[in-house]
Amino acid sequence: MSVMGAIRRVMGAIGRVIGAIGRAIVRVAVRQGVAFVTALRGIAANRMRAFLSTIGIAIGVATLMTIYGLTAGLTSSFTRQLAMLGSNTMYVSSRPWVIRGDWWRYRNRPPITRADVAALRRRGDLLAAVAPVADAAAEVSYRGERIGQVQVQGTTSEYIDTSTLKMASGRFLSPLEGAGTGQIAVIGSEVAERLFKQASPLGARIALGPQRFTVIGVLVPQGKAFGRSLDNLVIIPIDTFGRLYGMRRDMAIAVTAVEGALLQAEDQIIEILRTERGLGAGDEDSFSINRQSELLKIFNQETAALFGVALAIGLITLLVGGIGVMNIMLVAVTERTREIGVRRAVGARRRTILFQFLSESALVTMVGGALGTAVGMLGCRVIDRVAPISAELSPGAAVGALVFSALIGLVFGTWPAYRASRLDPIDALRFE
Amino acid sequence: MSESERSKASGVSEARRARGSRGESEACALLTLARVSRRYQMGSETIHALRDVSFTIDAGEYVGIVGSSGSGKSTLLNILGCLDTATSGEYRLRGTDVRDSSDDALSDLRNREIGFVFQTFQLLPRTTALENVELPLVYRGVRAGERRRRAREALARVGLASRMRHRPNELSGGQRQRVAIARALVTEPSILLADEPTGNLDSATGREILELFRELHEAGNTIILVTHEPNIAAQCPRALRMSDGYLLDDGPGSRVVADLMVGVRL
Repeated sequence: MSVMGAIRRVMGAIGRVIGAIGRAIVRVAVRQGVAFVTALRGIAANRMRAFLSTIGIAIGVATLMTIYGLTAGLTSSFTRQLAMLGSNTMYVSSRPWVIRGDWWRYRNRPPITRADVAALRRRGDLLAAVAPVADAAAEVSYRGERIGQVQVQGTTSEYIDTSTLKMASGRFLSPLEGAGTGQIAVIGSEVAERLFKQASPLGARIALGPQRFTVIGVLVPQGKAFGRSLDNLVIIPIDTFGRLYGMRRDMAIAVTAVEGALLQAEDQIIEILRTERGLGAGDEDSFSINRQSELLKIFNQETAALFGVALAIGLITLLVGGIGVMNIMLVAVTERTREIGVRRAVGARRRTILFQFLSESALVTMVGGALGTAVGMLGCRVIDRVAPISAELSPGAAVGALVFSALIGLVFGTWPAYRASRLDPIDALRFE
Repeated sequence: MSESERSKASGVSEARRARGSRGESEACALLTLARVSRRYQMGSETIHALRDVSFTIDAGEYVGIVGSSGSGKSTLLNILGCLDTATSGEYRLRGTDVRDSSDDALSDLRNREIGFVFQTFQLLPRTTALENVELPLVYRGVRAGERRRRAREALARVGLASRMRHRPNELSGGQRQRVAIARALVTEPSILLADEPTGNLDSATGREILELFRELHEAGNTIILVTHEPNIAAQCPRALRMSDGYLLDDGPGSRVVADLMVGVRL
């Protein structure tokens, strides 16, 4: 019995403690919850002013969101395009892909020729695949269906080994075909879709300029990069390409290193081409080697700079907007001095007043943030449609923007809310 | 302790009495002031708003504090209402020494023990009568349903059951003051502190409000009413007369005011 009694007493004590904690939580929740509702009402009472004061925030957030979307879009475009190259592949061209300011240095470089390709094939024992790639744009048609500005690439059978291209149906150029002048073509998925709809293009004869080509394969879709489809593509043998568009055209050489020897392979390419081109010890390279990782690095640097500037602009806008909100909140505190006095007189603690005004300013900036996010998303949509660059906004970015704008409200609302909480109740009640 | 005994007590002697009798009077003494002074610094000048004020008020009393402006009655009211603290001296409210309380503790004391009624009503605009009355309960952490129920009760008690959804600007002055009184009553405080509650009302409405206070007093509420109008103080069972920060007189309202008038006539 006494044991039972003790247990009962202990349980009773525990119950009381839990009850007390529960009541305390409810008390705090009620106070802060009502402060929040009060804040909402404060905003509702001054809708126009809240709206105006939040425009600065909205503009700042919209700017940041658009920039963010643009950067995200650019990055994903770029990585998608680079992904096609394969990480173990280098592109040898007469000029670097990314030229930063010093373009005159590359002006007089000789084009890449078949001789360069041949030299690499002959001497490059670290090179697993070597494929010349020449580019042109042309109209392609099939039975009255026409597509303009299709990317035409002349290359050899090894090209598929240097890239991440995959066949959806049919086959790629064979070694023999790649070297020859056959009238055959491998087409991108978009070309296939637009010319053949549902039908199989294999064996069909499409028109490229004055000539006809038999379709031997269709590539797997690769998506878009920089607003341009990577699947609007026709690949034909390099010699056929030369006959169509001229043999002396500048081209690029796609080179894949043997596994794990990328840097040594690059050195080997430089050595072979310098010899082939008869460059002296003091001469600069008359060609450039583009590597995926290198490009990515350059790209990231460039976008980082762009992003940095844009970020600074957005942040300055937000700073200005935040100061605007602070100003409005200071006005609100002054206007509602008597209200604050009344609240203090009937028992509101300082921190309850603080919380009320903090939540009010956070709400105002969050409304601005939501507005800005909406505008930013719309902006990205428009850019995506109209401009050749893509812009993407993830839901995560939108949530981030809302949280961030609430934070701005908290930061810039701190001073006004602090002032409100420090008001002397007697003075506040007497305030006219 | 009879009214007549108290009536002759000067501030100092009353302080002595309050100290001496604390032991046995603690049970019924609601609040005790012992040599309470309040000084302000205005530049180089020191203003003595209250000087050595001592008195005791028991639960259930109806006390008028009368004095001209600048007499220190507002300062006294602020100290009694825990809005301000004494520079020196002791103020005990239901046994709690108020002077050493933190700001949070003062807020809680106001919430629990004090119901304020102001001359200018001090209702929140754009907020219904019901919500105005609920406000003190919010800061006590009472849940919404309970809050609403108690606010309704309080409004019914001041005769405003039919005006709960009205906002202050839709109410007459008398009705506004009734809302304010309901707000003061809703927490069932120890003291109802009214600062010139009829000051902004016409005389008929003012009489109604005073009648309401009388009823509340009869129902057992402790009421302290600050006024500069002698005829209001005369109706209080007990009145304190303030002048220049001193408590000059303490006794039945009619007697204190009669003496005041004699003083004025002389």
